[in-house]
Amino acid sequence: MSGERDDRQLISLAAALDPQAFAELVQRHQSRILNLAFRFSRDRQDAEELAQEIFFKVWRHARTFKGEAAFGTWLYRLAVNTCLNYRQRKKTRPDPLPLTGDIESGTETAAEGFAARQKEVLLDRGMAALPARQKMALILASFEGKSYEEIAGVMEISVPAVESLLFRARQNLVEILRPLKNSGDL
Amino acid sequence: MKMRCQNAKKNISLALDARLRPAELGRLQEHLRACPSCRSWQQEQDRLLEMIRTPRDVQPSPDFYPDLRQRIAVSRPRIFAFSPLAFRPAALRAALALVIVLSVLLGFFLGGRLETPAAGADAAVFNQTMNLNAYADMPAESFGAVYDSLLQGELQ
Repeated sequence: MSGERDDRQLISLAAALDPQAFAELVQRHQSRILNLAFRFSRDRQDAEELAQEIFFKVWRHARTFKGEAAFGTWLYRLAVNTCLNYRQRKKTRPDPLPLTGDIESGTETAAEGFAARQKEVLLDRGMAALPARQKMALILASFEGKSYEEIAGVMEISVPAVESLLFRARQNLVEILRPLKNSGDL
Repeated sequence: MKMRCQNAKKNISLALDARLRPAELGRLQEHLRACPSCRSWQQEQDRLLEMIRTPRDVQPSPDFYPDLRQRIAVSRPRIFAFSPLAFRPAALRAALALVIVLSVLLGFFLGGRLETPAAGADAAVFNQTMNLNAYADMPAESFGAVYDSLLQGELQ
């Protein structure tokens, strides 16, 4: 058996104000949480702020983890709630679409780069326009590969509600992204 | 039974997450063969999923953990921090029970007496104030006396 401590042990130690255990916990989960926040906020700086807030809450509320659910579920629940509240507090302004004059003409690489960037920005804009809960359900299902049962547990809703959120998210996203379809990219 | 387009789209969404049962999947495929609109919607969803899944992973900045430690250090000590999560159901139930008990005790205390008034006492008060002779002792020519004489006249 390795000397590695599991998440439950680490969170118990963090609850007892052990900074080393907390550091290990952060180290273990920071990448996943940061990427969840990044997919939600679509902004590098916002994502880092969100991830900091999430781990700050882990530290503050470590004592409330009683082990009824897996640590991962507890952490995701905290992360999802923080992201949803963050969205309510800070309405993101969609990035402007890059103008054709922004790239140098004549080079294929620049044109391809522009197309890829334009697609990315449109996707960002589409995701930003989705209601927060629909967006979160879509991220958890499509990016994080969570099952409907896991999403239901993390978002504290029923499985049929997850199905409904995902269907509406996909339906809305297609409508929002019609410009891509019209330009032949979608 | 023929599948409607709205149901077909819901099933496309489920199929994207491999949540559709084989029988439902068969019916969906049958519908898609006959419905160009739903077929187009499915293709849009496939491309969208591909776009969404394109990895754009980010890594924490070198300052991530030091900044977090700094934030924790400047925050109030955790043991004294107010936390809504500290309110657990058992504690809430105990607090509610205490409030009810204190309210009942306070009610008894402020009420001054716990027994109901005697029936005889109520009857005496009623007879003093509400019988027709209440105006009999009014000074002459007062409204009460005039009213009494009217009452007497009507009754006799």
